[in-house]
Amino acid sequence: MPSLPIGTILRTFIQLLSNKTKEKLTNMNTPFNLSRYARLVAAETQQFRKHYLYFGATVILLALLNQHVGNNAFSAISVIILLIAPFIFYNHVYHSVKGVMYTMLPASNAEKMAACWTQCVIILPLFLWIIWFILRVINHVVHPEDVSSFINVNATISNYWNAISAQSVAIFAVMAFRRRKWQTLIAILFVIAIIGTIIGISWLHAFQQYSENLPFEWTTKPWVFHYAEIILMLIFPFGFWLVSYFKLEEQEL
Amino acid sequence: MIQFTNVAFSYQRDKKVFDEMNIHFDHGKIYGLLGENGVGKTTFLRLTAGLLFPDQGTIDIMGFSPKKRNPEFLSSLFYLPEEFDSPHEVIMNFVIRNGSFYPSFNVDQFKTYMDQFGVDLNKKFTELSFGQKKKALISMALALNTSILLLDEPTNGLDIPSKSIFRRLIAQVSDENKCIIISTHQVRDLELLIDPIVILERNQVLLNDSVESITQKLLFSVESTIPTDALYYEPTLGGYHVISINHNGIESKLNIELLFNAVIANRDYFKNVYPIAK
Repeated sequence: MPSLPIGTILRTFIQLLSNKTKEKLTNMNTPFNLSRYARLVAAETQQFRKHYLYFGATVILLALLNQHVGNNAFSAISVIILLIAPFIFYNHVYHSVKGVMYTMLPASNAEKMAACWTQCVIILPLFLWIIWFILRVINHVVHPEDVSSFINVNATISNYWNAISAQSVAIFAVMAFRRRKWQTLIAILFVIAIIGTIIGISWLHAFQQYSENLPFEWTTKPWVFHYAEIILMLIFPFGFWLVSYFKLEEQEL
Repeated sequence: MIQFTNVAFSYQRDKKVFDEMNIHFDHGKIYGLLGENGVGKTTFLRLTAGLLFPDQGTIDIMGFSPKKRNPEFLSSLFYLPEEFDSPHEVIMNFVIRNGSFYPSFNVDQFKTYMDQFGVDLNKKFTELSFGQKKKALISMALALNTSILLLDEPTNGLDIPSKSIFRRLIAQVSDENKCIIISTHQVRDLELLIDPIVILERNQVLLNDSVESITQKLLFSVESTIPTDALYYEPTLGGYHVISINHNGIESKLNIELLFNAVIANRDYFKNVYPIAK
């Protein structure tokens, strides 16, 4: 099976960013300009370099404490980092002092949202993946008796998708709430969880009574579940990304 | 260049900062924005910069609506707030990173201004005093070469020689295409620089006039006794600083602080009679 040319993709991406950031910005009248977007991504990556360093150090420290690195590239700590990163990177969005420079920066809201998305969904996971890869190689050297596959592709993709789906809610909280972003989000999720549990339990009771009276047994998932899955996927993450963009459009300091 | 039409804005529903505000700012001028604390000078600058949105009315800046934050609009305007963030990084890196988004940014200009202010551009912001940080940001603001420059209390925290350098630099960068608006309480620092003068009052603009027009309409003098037709007076050594209506077209030197106090003390006159006085 041909391996993914990750190195080539990464090199092309860095070259693109590097070329685009060296160009003089002249075309300012377009709502989305690739040069400006690339420059913004490069500027934010440079700005967040210390945070990346801390995230990397945390992953390495935990791997050292564990003395083992598993074959899932997005383990619990990586997922937690992906979830808290938007709060750390973009906490200043509504800050009346710290947010001025960000808001006044000559880039459109679409470019700023795309840069935020690139940072949280592409660059940070890629950074965590690279760290995991290095640690996994070291793990193989240190534990030659470990015969498990180098990477569990299915678990990695599944965890990555679940993490960015949940992270989309965090991005929304960053763009929507002026203050106490993560506290507000947790409070709202808590209320939703309680209401959801109450409704879920009552529906389950009703459903059990209904299925007991059915002349047949469920063998496959009802069609409604397939639609529900698609709708949920549209909401998490695509819907939240889209709504976050609209919230950024309304942002005032 | 900047046009506010019937603009209303409030932070709380029942407390309006601006109501039906109309004002126009032209290019090629350095406006002095004056007003008592809390009348909305900073709010005005933030509305202009697109950091706040009006509740009603329209703001037109060179054909752009600040609310939309079009990149072309943002690249032609810079707002230097009174309070600012101190990034944990070297000044030069910060300025180059942000300046590269402005098509007219000139790094050599920035270095020259920093040199004139005597601030080391290889230091971190966190290593600088408030005044030094301000000098760095003023240097950056000027080197961006934007058409509109909004400065909120720029001389606060500057030492005496730096205030003089600031005046010189502002005079140097000012040209026919630029509109510079300086909000300040330190009127003496900028007395010879700002023209026209805008005095804001809660919900309204009390005065928006050029120095020439003001001195044509009003006479600033020092008298030993208070004249009967004095619009406003303040005691001074051996007499009174007086503002009276200039009936005979006598030339006099504008005293901005005195004018400001006179405007605040005679709101109705400056709101209703002054604009139509010859």
